[in-house]
This record gives sequence, structure tokens and C-alpha cells, in this order.
Amino acid sequence: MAANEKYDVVIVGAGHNGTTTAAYLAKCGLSVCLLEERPECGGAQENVEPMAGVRTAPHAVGNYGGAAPGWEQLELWKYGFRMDANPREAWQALQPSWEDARCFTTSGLPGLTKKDINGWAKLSGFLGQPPFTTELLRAVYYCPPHPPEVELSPENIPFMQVYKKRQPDVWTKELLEMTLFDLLDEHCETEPFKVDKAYKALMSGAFGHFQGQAIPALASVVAPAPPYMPRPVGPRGNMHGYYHAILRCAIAHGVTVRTCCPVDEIIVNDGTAVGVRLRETATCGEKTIWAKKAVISSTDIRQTFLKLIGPQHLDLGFRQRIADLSLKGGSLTYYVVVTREPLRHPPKYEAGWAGIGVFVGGMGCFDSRELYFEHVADVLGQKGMPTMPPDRVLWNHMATTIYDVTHPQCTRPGLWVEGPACVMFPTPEYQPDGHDAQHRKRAEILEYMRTVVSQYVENLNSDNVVAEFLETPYDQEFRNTGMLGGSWYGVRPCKDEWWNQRPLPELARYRTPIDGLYLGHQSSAHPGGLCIMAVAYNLMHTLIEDGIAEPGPWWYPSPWYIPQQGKKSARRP
Amino acid sequence: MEGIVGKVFDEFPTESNWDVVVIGAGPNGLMTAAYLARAGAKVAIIERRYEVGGGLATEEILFPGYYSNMHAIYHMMVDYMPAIKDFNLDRHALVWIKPNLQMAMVFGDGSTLLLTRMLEDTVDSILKFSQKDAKAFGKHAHVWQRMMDEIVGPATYLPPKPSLDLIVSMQRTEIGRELLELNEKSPLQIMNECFENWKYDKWSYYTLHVVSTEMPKYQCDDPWANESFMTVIGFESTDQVVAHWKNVMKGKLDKNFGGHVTCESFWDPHLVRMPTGKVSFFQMHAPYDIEGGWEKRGQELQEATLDKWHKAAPNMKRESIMMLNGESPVDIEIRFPNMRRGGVKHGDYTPMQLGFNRPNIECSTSKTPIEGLYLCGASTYPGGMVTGGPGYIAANKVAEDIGLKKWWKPTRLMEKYIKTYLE
Repeated sequence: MAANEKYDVVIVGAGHNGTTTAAYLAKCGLSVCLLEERPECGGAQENVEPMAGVRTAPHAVGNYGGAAPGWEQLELWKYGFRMDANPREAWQALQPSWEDARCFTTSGLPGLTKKDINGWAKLSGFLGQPPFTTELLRAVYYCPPHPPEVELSPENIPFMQVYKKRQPDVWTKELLEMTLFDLLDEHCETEPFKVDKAYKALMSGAFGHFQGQAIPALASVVAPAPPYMPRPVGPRGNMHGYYHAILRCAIAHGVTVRTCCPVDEIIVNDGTAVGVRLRETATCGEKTIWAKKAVISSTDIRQTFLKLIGPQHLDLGFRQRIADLSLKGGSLTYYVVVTREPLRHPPKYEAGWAGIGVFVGGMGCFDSRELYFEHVADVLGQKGMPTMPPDRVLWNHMATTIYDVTHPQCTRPGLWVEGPACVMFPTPEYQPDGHDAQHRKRAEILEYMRTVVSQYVENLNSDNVVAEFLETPYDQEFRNTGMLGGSWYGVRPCKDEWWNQRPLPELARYRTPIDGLYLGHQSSAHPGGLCIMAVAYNLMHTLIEDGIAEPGPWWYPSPWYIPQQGKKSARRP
Repeated sequence: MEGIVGKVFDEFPTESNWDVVVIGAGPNGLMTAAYLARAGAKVAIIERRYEVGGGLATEEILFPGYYSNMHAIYHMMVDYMPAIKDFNLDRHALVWIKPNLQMAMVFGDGSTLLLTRMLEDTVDSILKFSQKDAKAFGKHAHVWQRMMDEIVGPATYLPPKPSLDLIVSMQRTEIGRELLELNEKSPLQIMNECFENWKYDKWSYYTLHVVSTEMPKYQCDDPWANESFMTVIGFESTDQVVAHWKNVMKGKLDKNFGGHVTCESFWDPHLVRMPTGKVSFFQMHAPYDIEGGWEKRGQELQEATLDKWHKAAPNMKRESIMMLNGESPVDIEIRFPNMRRGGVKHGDYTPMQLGFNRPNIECSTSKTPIEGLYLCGASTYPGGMVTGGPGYIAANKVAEDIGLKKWWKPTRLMEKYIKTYLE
């Protein structure tokens, strides 16, 4: 056993972003070590089988990443990525009846109009000649934030450039100040339709009700749904199948992957990150792994700066700003149910899916934006447990049956699995009854989730239910440390922590005050979560600038990218 | 809507070309694939589950937050497995835990019997029961160790020979003759004789995975037993063991049962993600076809197991159990469809299905009557238990047949065995 193990790059955390970064860098010919503290890689893109034959995805369920350059740059189809097109849904998606299904109100399904659908299709780029949806999504997600010396303007913000070129009648200077509701009020007419979009954005980690967040919020609603995605979700083998294609790509390019290897310290020598020290329990002979060129932290930002790097290496004020980052938002309580019979909608919700014949879930309580704001205030207003009664709370039920027809989630004879049904909860950090309040109130939370789901499902009763699985934000926070504070998207996804502000302005280009240490985690880098291969792609621009990665002809940078040479770290001028 | 999504999702290749395709990414499939790939073959390995590893699965079945080992919890052949050295597995972060105290048996009266890697410790423990047995154990253990090193270990990684040939070649050495003699009297043999008419595929495992606030502490005279890798509870006598086994063979389970317990997170703290809790399991032999059916009996057995566990380890009270998940033989088959009828070794260990006969005379050296089709799973010689034997033997055979240069060499013990018995 060698005393020293050396790689060009050491990556801490084998979740979506760490693994994608590893694949990119190994494809550049670098030697890469990818370290994971859990027994399995995958981070938020994992699958679990808590009951024999019943598989569910505890976090990511939707594929938001269709626009990613990563598909072709990493050639993921070579590593087993497959996705099934469903042409019926593609055309249905632009029919009012399709949108009906995803837009439940307490009284049933609202009637949508052509104006709603056309307005939405226009904003999303589907009506462009040619359609420009991919370009729009790439502008939102796949471009590193502009350097701080560049003053942001309607002329240089990527998505503004796209609208100006492709759909000039949407482009106005005010677009940068609009909320999603403002934008939809202009282009669509039915209130529940607007609430539905705002809620989907909220669930996806983009707060459309904040000023200036209209387009980022819109993008996160367009990305995972038909017609942009052939199915609402559905890489073969689910999101975990998608992850495995990335992992296999990384391994095929020579990445050394190690599980059960928690990192205790990022070793900093004279202001430069030179390696990592593993925890004593790590299943690895060498407890120190050296990095010749860079250490990339693909674990959460608080852990990175407050735990893994000794306080002597960082400015106290900087540490304080990291500690002060808001974690609010994006904390979902997750509920999955195993039943003897498939779940059934009551008649008032059935219509939107007539003809397809399967329970497909939905999202709901979209009566009005007042309800939306009431819900937002309830979960983001530091009140502890949600106080909204189950019949007024906004919910989301991703139906397992539509994930992937080729890879059924339930192979247990005679049983059905449905879910997750999700309701946004406050993050554990903001629980006045203590950090473990959600843990102590599990029974109460389970009952709450059951009641929520019962409103749009007829047969959720003790005769039918065989097993239930509940995951609170408290559970998420511990079982997956990347879910910083139990939040699915890391730090608060609002304008203050978006693009060139995420997570702090000086860190937005993925560099840190430590030379050779880069950030590559949803909580620490634009554009955040959703497993869309964006953090790695954007980070690549910086690593190329700093002379660490030299990709081959397969690489292409973002067309809106503004280089910033000779920077090397967030500390250097 | 053509053109929106882009060609990446529209045009997936419908076929691909490889030198070797391995079906199943369990330990043996991975083993074969790894040897052949390093020899320069273009190898595809196909897995139907969402994770590779087969019976080596460590999964979060105590969801959320706790991982368990679904099947294999120990490896019997690590000192003999050529892959450890061939692939420098320690360089790939494989760390073996070899606890000195391998097994403890805790009896109702508080007495304990310990089985350790360091022979003297076992002898000490047996001494409490019988000086004569202790002496006999010490003597035999040395012989068994030699048999493992010189015959059983290396033979696991070499193609089988017909029984008669094997018996003849075993006669060449004293230890070989002793092994043959032992075989005639081994417990397995005795069982085989006793239960000749019973079908072995009637047994599998029932496992109760639990998360408890503390690791189990047994009521026993030797506190060291608490740190045993495995602890056997529920049996007081060989009669009870045999009665339990007879029940299993008849598709029954009653109050007389026992099994082994391991506190997994004591050995591997990474299994626990949450701030508190220890992961353990209780496992016992159980029939696939059980009287009353598993759906009903599973619940009942869970209760009976918890009672029994609590009796042996008073701190395993109901209120200390934070989570539990009972897995029946039917569950095993659902999770791992190749473990038919819950058979974790992919087929019975009967004399007619062991050695040269596993799975049959034509196929036990991994070649089959169909040209280009090879077997490398646990249903082929030498069988299950994560020895990697079938995978290693198949890799050798395939490499020879398709003309790959073998970059690996047999281990020193295997060379000695080949020289002594096969040449």
C-alpha cells in the first residue's frame, strides 16, 4: 500500500455535480479521484428499495436536464443512457386538455383557454421559428455568471439576448424586474394555470414570485415537462439510470471512485488546496489523498468552508457570511404509498386524463395566487410546522406509473407503488421547537400527508394500503448531507442567490479564497440543483481559464460566456 | 415537435458490438468481466437491477437513513481469492475487517461459547465446557487450516475434476487422505445422509433488519460476546438445531428457532446516516414455501424474533427498536430474481449439485454445449458464498478459448495444488 496517493484533481462528493465534473475532467485526460461518504454514489439521483420489489426515488424524480451540452459532450448514450419518447404526450402537451391534468383546484379541473396555452408556448420558445427552447434553457442554466467587472444589463444577460433575437415581442427591459405572475398576467389568462406554473417553479427551486425571477422560474417549469421532455420524467431506469450513465462515463474515462470515504479536511498549504484527509473510518488504506492541480468541493457550501477547511485559512467575516446564507425553501416532505389496488382519482379530477387510463398524479390546490402566497408564507415564514390545513395546502404528486414504462417501479406481484406526494415544509433549521422537531412529529406529519393525498385519491384506506414511506426534511438533511439543511436545492433560490450572486458574489465563478479549491455543488454554484449537468459545465469554463483542464475538440463553451483570465482564486484581484 | 428536444433523445443506437457480453453484474459477473477487460477484450456487462453487486448489495432498506447488507455479510475465501492480488483491490479502497471474535453462541443460562480467528481464544472458551474438547479442537483446527490452504482454498479457483479422479489424486498426500476421511464424517455429510430424501431447495433465509437505539447487549457470562461478529441466539442444544432444520425442510416454522445476529454498524459506521441508531440483523434458515404463507407468517415471525432477541439481549426492548424490516425468502426472490425460490446460492448444495456436478457434468467447467456460451454464476462450480470462484474459472476458460493473453497467474497456493494433485 503506497503511502501517497496523488491525482490531478480530487473531488469531494459523488453526487450529480461531483460525478459530472469528474467525467468532464477525466475526459480531458486528467487523473481524478471522486470521494463519496455514503455507501452508494448518486447523491440526489439515487434510488431506494425499502421493500422488496418497491423502488422509489427519494429526491430527484424529474429530468430537467434536456438542454445540457453534457449529453453530447459526454456522449452519455454510449454509457447506457436511454430515454423513451412518447409522441402522444408531445402533441397533447400543447392542448388545453393536457394542461388541465396538472392543474387541480379544490373544485376540480379548470377550463384552460387557447390564450393560456399559446401564451405559455410563446414564452417557452415552442412557437419560435425555429423553436428556441433549448437555447433559452441553455441561456438560463448553461453559462457561467459574468465576471464581477462586467455590469449586468438587458443587453448582456444571456436569456435577454435570446428573447431579443428569437422572440422580440417578449423582450422588454422590464422583463428583468418581473415576477412570474407579472409575466403570466401579460401572456395568459386563467388564474389556476398561473398558480400551477408558479408552484411548479417553487417546487423546482426557483421562486417565481420574487422580482426578476420570472424567466429562471419559467425555465424550471419548461425543462422537465412535455413537449420539451418526451415524457414528464423518464430516463430509462429513472433518474438513477441517468446518474449511472454519468458514473459509467466517469469510470470509463479512468476516474477512481471511492465510497464510504468521508473527507474530514481539505488540506491547505500556503493558501493553496493540495489534497484531502479522509476520516479515520474511511474504507481506504491511505488517509491522505493529494491533488496536484485542484480540489473540487462538490459537497455543500457550509460544510466546505466551516468544517473541511481550517478556520486559520479563511477570513472570519467570510466564514460568517457563509454561516449566514439562508437555507429557506425547497424542503419537501416526501410520501410514498404501497397499495393493493391502483390509486383512483375521484371523478372531478379524472377528466384530464381520460383515455390514458392510469393514475398519473398531479399537483394541486391551485385555486388562486392568494392560496399560493398563503402557502409560501406558511413554510417560509419561520412558523415551524405547516399551519395550513391539508385541504388548503399546495401539493404535488408525481405518479410512479409515468416515470418509465420500461422499468416499472414495482415488481412486487399484486402491489402498486405510488408517489412521491410532496408538500413543502420549513427547513429543520427554522423549527422553533428544535432542530429535530420534524423527527419527533413523524406520526403527525404522516397523518397530514395522508390527509392531503386522500383529497384527490378515493381509495387511500387501510384495506388498500400495505406500506407507507415518509421522509421529512430532517431525514433528508442527515441521510444526504448535500441536501443542505434539508433543502432540495441548497441555499435559498432567489435573486440574492442566483447567477452572479450565488452563493456569494466573489464565489460566483466557482473560485474560492483558496487557490486550487473550486466549488461544484448545487448549494455553492450557479444554477443550483435539479441534476442538469450545469454546474459541471459552467465550472469547466473556469477550470479551462485557470489552465487546469484542456478539453479536446468535443468541448464548446457557452456562446454568452465572458472570459476572465488570470484570476486563479476569489482572493486574487 | 421535432427538433426541440434535439437528436440526443431521438436517436439512441439500437445495437452495439462487443467481444464479450456478461449477463449479470453480481460478484462473479464482475469478476469475469474485469479479468477479460484487462486482458484487452471489449466487454459489456448487463445488469437488470438499478445497482451492480448482486448479492453483495448494501442498500438503504431501513429507509430513511440506514443501510443494511442484504445478503453477504462475510466472505469466507478472502485469503485465497486471486482477484485480491491480481487487481490490487486494497488500492481500490477495499479494507477487510477480520474480527478475532467471529462467532459467539449465547445460551439461555448465560453461558457462552466463542469461536475466534486466534485459535487459543477459542480453546480458552471451550475449556469452560470440556478440557477434552478443547484439546481436540486445538489439534483438529491446525489440520483444517492446512486442508484449507493446500486443498479447499486453491481448488475453489480451479476447474473441478470428476469425483473419482479427485479421490484418486487426493490419495497422493497425507493431508489429502485426511480430508477424504474427514469428508466421510463431516457434519455436512452426516446431514446429507440423514436428510437424503429431503429437497434442499426448501430452505432460504428469513432476515429481520432493525435499527435500535443501542447495539444488542447479551445476558451472558463473557462480555466479550457482545463484540462478536456474529452471535447465535435461540438454540440450547443440537437437538433444537436439528428440530429447527427439520421444520424448515417441511415448510414449517414454530417457536423453536434460532439464528445469528450481527450488529453491522458496529463494524461499518457508514451504514448509519442519522444522528442515532445502530443497524443489526437477525437471520435464520427458513422455508420458501411456508405453511400459512409469508404475508401472514412474516408478521408473526417478526414478533417472535423480537421476543427471542429481547430475551437474549435485554436492551433490545420494543421501545428501543426504531425501525424494522423483515425480509422473507419470497422477498429475496423479488429483489434478486436470480435467487430463485430465495436460493441465495443459486441452487441447492446437494452431492449431485456440487463439485464436478455443479450444475452438471457438461457445464461445471463453465463451458456449455452451446459454443460461445459460458457460465460464470453461483450455480456453477464451486458455487455461491462470494468466493469469486465461478467468475475466475470462467474468465480463465474464456480467455483460453478466445485467445486472450492471460495477464494473471495462479496464486502460490494454487500452483502448489496444481503441482501436487493435478499434474
